[in-house]
This record gives sequence, structure tokens and C-alpha cells, in this order.
Amino acid sequence: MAGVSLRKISKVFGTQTAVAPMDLEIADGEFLVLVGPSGCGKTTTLRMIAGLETPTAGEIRIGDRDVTHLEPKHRDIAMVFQNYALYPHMTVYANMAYSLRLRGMDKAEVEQRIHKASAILGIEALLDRLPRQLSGGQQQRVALGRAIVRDPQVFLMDEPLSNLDAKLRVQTRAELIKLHKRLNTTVVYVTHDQVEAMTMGTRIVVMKDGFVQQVGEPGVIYREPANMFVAAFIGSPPMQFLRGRTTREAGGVLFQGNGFALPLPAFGEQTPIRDGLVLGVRPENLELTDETVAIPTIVDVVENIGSEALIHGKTPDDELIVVRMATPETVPAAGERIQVKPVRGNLHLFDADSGAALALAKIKTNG
Amino acid sequence: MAWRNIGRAALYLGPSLVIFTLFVFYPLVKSVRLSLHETNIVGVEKFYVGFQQYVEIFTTGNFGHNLWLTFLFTLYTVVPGIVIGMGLAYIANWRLKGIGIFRTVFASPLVIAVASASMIWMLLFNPSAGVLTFFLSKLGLSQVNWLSDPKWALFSVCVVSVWRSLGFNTIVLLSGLQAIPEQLYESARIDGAGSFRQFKDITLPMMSPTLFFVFIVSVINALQTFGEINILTQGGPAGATNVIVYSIYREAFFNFHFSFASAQAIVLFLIILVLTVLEFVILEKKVFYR
Repeated sequence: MAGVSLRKISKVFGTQTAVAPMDLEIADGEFLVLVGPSGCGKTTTLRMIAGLETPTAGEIRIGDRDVTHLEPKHRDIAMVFQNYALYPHMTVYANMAYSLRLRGMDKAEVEQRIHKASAILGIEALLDRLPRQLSGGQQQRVALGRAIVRDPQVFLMDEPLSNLDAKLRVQTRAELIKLHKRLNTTVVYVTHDQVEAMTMGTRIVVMKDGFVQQVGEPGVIYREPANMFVAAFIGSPPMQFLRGRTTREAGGVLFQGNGFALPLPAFGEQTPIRDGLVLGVRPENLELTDETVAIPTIVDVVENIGSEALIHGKTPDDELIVVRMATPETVPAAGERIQVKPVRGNLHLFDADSGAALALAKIKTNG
Repeated sequence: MAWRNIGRAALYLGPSLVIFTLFVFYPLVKSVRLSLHETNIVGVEKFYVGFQQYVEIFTTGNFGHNLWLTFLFTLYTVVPGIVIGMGLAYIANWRLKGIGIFRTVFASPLVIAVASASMIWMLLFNPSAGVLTFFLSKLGLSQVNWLSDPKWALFSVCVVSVWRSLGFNTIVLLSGLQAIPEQLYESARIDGAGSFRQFKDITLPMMSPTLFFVFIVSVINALQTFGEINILTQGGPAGATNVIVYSIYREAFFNFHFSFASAQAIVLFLIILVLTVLEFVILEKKVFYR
């Protein structure tokens, strides 16, 4: 087991910068998730750690070894591919044994390792089958098994759950978390799914257009996003944004939106008082209210799934706003005029041009 | 309803059935008949002789020798044809700028008629003015009578035949290579496989259906090669390139011994049939179909 450190590594394809110089320290035993939309450089980063791509510049270290220019096989890593990349002409057993045989491990040891790994994954009954005789979920397990038997220093996983159907994905997600707890090996995990990132990662790296946007624990990333991209990418439905400016009134900071004004007593002295701001608030922190000092909204669509309801609406200036009602006993109807107000959680102020987070305040809940 | 379906099926099958009947089934039946009869000089059956022609094939003449030549010809063309074709396909699979030009060049023998190809090679083989002689002299080697030296004639014809087969082989093998997912190689690299292991453990098994197909077709083609031999050596010198197909042709259209030629043709047909069945029985076990 070992940590991984990326020092100023970057990757340029022709004129296209896939990964801008990035620094990252991945601790031993950590489950680090690289998340971002497609083309953000997360997979390229993973492939550089694997040795399948050579960095344009920078250094990669696994443990205390500089592996930047080492072949993949000398890095002591195992990789799980999105489409599993099982050898179709080999049985499950042979697939799992392949890397061990290439290392010249003796037969008894190979067998013992395969039986141990297949017991962990519950695939003992599949060892004599060919990959094409397996379901998607079973193939996924074999791909994991192939990685586990190697007992590598680092597991690299490239969207390993994205080929599974929704139900199986949720189930496997939990199993991967358990597996990580059990093996306690460093995992670098790539996904475009923010739910996977939030639920699995001990830390998350959010990337966009080759640049790291934010690195942090899931809760921190969720509560204190560094910019509007992270705020919108992590969380579903995403954080809601309202354009406007701030002024300082007798009672504190006042946010002047388009067609509404909202007092923000939570914000303190350091709050920027200016134009060109965006107020960010998460849907679950909004509530319907009878107060008149709130955001006037016209209801567009109501999605009620029983346990919760999503109210999609529009502000007077046609800005979209979504409210998540945790107890949807009575929901407004489409077309209805309602008042919406942030009542809990965090409020965020972003710079409208750069998207950078400027200020953050926690709403004090009454009682 | 059933008879209407049969009628419709017949309508669809009709054209190919007519062509097959005219050019395959009828000649096959006719050859069998001819081989069991003695014929006159224009090929009309005169009287039934049973299996006498077949007995003659194996007791007189050069059939054994020609069969051996045919075997050598097949060996010398099929193996290099597949090995070189595989090499070219491997190169053509590189992701380089302008690789399309090379792919086209590699495939070009496919569209050159056997007569044209033979004429080109006849010029190359020319002992006094040919390019090959020129290069041999550059290397300080004495000139070789490629087509008129019995020691070299079969080899020379094989060279032409291999060259002709490369277009088809390269295209088919290239498509087989391209069907192998890149991730398998990446996975193998991480698992610790070098170039040779990747070739042996990934490329070859994944290519086995393609290789099997090319092998079967190549063997059948080799056993039936006629064009290059007819143009370049006419079976000579001194029978050095007199493979069975060519000897059948000589027997029928020079010696006007149609029934004897037919009997040889039937024997060749049976040899190809048995070989192909054997190839399937023996080799197909090693083929992995995805």
C-alpha cells in the first residue's frame, strides 16, 4: 500500500490541453474520486497514473518511487476499466490468473489468491466460465477480482459502474465502499456521477476543462463550493443561482435581485457590497413562505415522488428556481404564485464573471 | 400458404440457382460422367470404362509428382502469404498520418488481374534486363534464371502468387486487427505483458477466426492456382511447376484427353474437400469465436 503524489503533471494532446499542471497528494488508503463532466481530464489523469499516457510534464510518485517513466507493469497498480476489458477468450480463472502467471508466481499461490478474491466477491461459481457467459454485474465483479488478486499498491478505477443498470449500480456502490474498508488500499476512482463521488470518496477532486476546481471532503465540497461550477455540479438538483447586487441597510446586508429584495442577516462585515454578484442557495434550503419579503415565484412544474417534491418555478425575471420540499403533503399547482425563502443551510455569494465564491454564511435557524 | 412461401423462396433463390447449376453443378456432374468414360478428341463420351481412369492416375504418369508439387506450392504460398499479410496488416494498423495511402497500396494486388500481375513479374524476373537481376548484381551475386531454371521456377511462381494474395490477406487481417478492443492491450500492459506476450495472448487468439478464414481460403486458392503458372512457366521447365490444375488443363486442352483430365479434376476436388473438412475438424477447436 502506498500513497500517490502528482507534482505539476500535465498532458497536452497537440494543441489541446487535456490536463493543466496539477498537484495532488493522495494519502495511503484513501478513496479519492476524480469527478467532472466528460472532457474534464479526469480519465487522462487516471491513465497517467496507470502509465497508459505519458505526462507532458511533471512527476508521478507512488509511495516513495518516481514512476513517471515506468511501464504500467512496473508501477504495482491494478486498473478496472469502464467496459471491464476482460480477456474474452480466457475463463474467469484465467483472467484473474493472467497477471500472476506473468509474474511467475507458483501455481499454488495463484490458486490460493484467486480463491480468496473470488470468495470476497462471491464469484467462486463462475471461475470456469467465459466472460461472454456472464451478466454485466458478474463481469464487473470479475474485473474487480482481477484487480484484487494482484494485491496492488493502488487501485485505479475508470467509471467501473457506468455500464451497470441503475439498481445494480447503487448496490455495487455500497459493495465497493465495503471492499475498500476491508482492503484498505488506496483507490483512485474516476466518475462523472456526482452521487458516486459524494457517496464513495473520502476526498473528491472536481475537474473541469483540464483544471482542478476544488479538492476536499465530500461534505466540504457540498457545503463550501469554491466556485459556481462546483456548486452546480455537486448536488442534485443543483444549487440555484440568482443574479443581483448587495447593499448595506440598517438591518445588515440586503440582496437586490431582479424583481425582489432579500435581507441576508447571516452575512457579516466582510461581505462584498457591490454589483455583479450571484446568490447561491440549495433547493433543500428553500421553503415556501407566507412572508412578503421573499422571492416571488410562478410555479412551472411540480415533481412529487411522495417522499419529496421538486417545485420548478420562475422568478419575475425568468430566472429558474427549484425548491425541494421534504414533506410534500400539500404542494402548489402549476401556474400558482408562491413566495420562496432560504431558511436553513448555507448561502453563497459568487462573482458573476469569474464564478468564484466570495462569501459564505450559515443561516441561523430559529429554535 | 405453404406453397406460396415455397414459390416465393424459389423466386428469390432462382437467379443464384440458375448460375450455380450452369457453372458449378452441371460441370461437376459432367466431369464425374466424363471421368467414367472414354472420350473422343472433341470430348464426346464414347464408352463407359468405370474407374479405369482413376486407376491410371495412380499407376501411370506423373500424378504423384504433380500432387507433391501442388503440396509444395500450397505450403510456399499459404504460409508466407499469411505471415507477410499479417505483418502488413500490423503496419497498416498504426495510427499515422497518411496511413490510408499505405493501406491502399497494400491492398492493391487484390485489384490487379492475374495476367497483368504475371506480366509485371515477368519483367521483374527477366534474367538480362530485370530489376531482380540488377539488385542481385549489386549484391555481388550471379544472375538467376528465375523462370527457366527448374531449381528456381516453382519458387518464382510462388513469389508471384504470394504477392497476389497479399492484397486480400492484408485487408481481411487488418479488419480482424481493428476489431480487437484497445483496452485489452492496455489491460495486458498493466498485467505485465510485453509486446510478444500481447501478440501471443491477445492478438493471436482474438484473430483466430480471421486467421482460420484466411487460411482456409488461401489453401483452396493455392490448390486451384492456374493463371500465373500458365503465363509465366506453362508448367515448365521440365515439369517443375506442373501443379495438378495445370496438368489437368494440359491433359484436356493439349492432349485432348478429356476423361483423364476429368478424373484428375475429381480427385483434386476430393482432396480439397477432405482437406477443408480436416482443417475444420482439427483447427476449429483452436478458434475462439466471440
